[in-house]
Amino acid sequence: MRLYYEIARRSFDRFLTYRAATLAGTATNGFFGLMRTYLFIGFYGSQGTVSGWTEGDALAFVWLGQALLMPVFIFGWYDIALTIRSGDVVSDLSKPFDYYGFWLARDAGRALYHTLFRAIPTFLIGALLFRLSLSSDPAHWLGFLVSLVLAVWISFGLRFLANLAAFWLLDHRGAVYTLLFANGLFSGLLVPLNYWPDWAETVVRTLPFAGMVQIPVEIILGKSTGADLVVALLFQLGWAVGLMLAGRVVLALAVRKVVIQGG
Amino acid sequence: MLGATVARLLEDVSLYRIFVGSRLRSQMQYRESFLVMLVLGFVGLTTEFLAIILLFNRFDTLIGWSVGEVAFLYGLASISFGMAELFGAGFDNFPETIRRAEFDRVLLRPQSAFVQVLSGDFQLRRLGRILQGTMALGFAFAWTSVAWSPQKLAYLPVVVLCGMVLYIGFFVLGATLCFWTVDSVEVANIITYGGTEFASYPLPIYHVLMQRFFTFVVPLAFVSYFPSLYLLGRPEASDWPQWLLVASPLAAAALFALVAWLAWGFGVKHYRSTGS
Repeated sequence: MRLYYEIARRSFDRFLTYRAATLAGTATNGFFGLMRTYLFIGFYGSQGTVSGWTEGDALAFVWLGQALLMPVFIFGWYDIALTIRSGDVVSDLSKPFDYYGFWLARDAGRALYHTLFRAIPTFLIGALLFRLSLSSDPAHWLGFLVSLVLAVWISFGLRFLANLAAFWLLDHRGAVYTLLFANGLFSGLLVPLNYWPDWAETVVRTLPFAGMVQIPVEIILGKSTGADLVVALLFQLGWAVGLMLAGRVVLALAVRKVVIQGG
Repeated sequence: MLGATVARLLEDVSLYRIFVGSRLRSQMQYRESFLVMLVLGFVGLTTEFLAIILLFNRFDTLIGWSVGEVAFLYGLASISFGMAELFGAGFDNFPETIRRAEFDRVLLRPQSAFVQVLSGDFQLRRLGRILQGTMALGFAFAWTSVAWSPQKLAYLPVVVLCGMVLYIGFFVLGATLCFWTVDSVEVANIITYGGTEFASYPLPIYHVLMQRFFTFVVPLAFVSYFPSLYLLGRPEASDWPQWLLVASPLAAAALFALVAWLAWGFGVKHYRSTGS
């Protein structure tokens, strides 16, 4: 366990060195947050509640979404695929640690960094400028924290699988690229799932992506309470564990296939 | 004097075609990879357009604009930006060129540095965004009841070209800053990618400071919102003289191209290599 803690800490420290990039990234998130804020203000006009959300809910979603997209990492992530392409994966696989655990620990360090230095500042910009409806119940905030951890784990599970595709496909970008767009759309980041047509919402809510943005946001908005909150967290946990198992199976298949150059 | 200028311009154009041709041939060596990335790019960007349709499914209008009219703004912005990305991406990826001191090599060649950088990262798979914008425009034509007179149909490509010039101008200015900062300038991304999203919705939804910024500092509204008022026959068009709406894209593009060109020339003169 100590080993994985150290791996996570190193990963966290590595991100600490990119101060200017962090500042610029936060400015970008803030700008997109502003644009989407005014988009929802324009759409709401004088309407009170649409699809169960008020304007304050929608604005809270906008800023939570901009905040979460770094920790949950909605973007293209090629770290493992690049080691497969370069062949470095062989040395990683032969090191005396659990391969999945190694990458998960690295991602945990990254996610913690992005939560502290990207998510919180971005969210503060929105919270200072606009009135966001957030739950005042501490249980919901606690539920949100658990939900956020699970969201990162689900996201990692999907990225791990998409990266392993590089073992079979010569072009390592295709699978990651597909995941990138599925992430944005089906997580609710682009359009919250409650605004979708009812039939589409029902389908998309069964996919793991819903656990990346929509579910954590609904928890801190106070939209899922009591038993619903527990069910929501169990849904996330189920997908996180399911994706981990799938990742390990695919990794085992890939390792059998690996042919090392030169014998 | 004029003859010499025209001859040099023609030479630059043929040079651009040679550079782009050689890049195309190398990309076509990986035909399957190219096709997959083109299709994925198209499908992926469709999620942006889908987002607009999904929102209009629950909200009837956006401050009086219908889904077809917003689709028009979105399509216009996507095509202009897509064309700029296709033809001028060398400037978008300029930080890399500077960091590796590859610009030294560019300057050593007895040809225009501008053309060499412009053609430096031509990737045909970027057609995806243009295709996507065209599809959005198709929907906009179907969903709105605008009377498309021959003048308007002829004017539409002019607006697109002016938009393209403006976006390439942003790329060039961003690249010029790299002569001093070396590192990539993220603010440039806010203006290009952020600006495209900004231009996809009617200007008045935004805070007045943002409206002014994207009208007078970065004149994107002149290649999106204002000409669209005229093209779509929006009621707001009567607030402005028609000649102003029609001429504004040309004026904004010409002015911005000039500023970018002068800045680039100044930057090149002050270039100091990162090489030791």
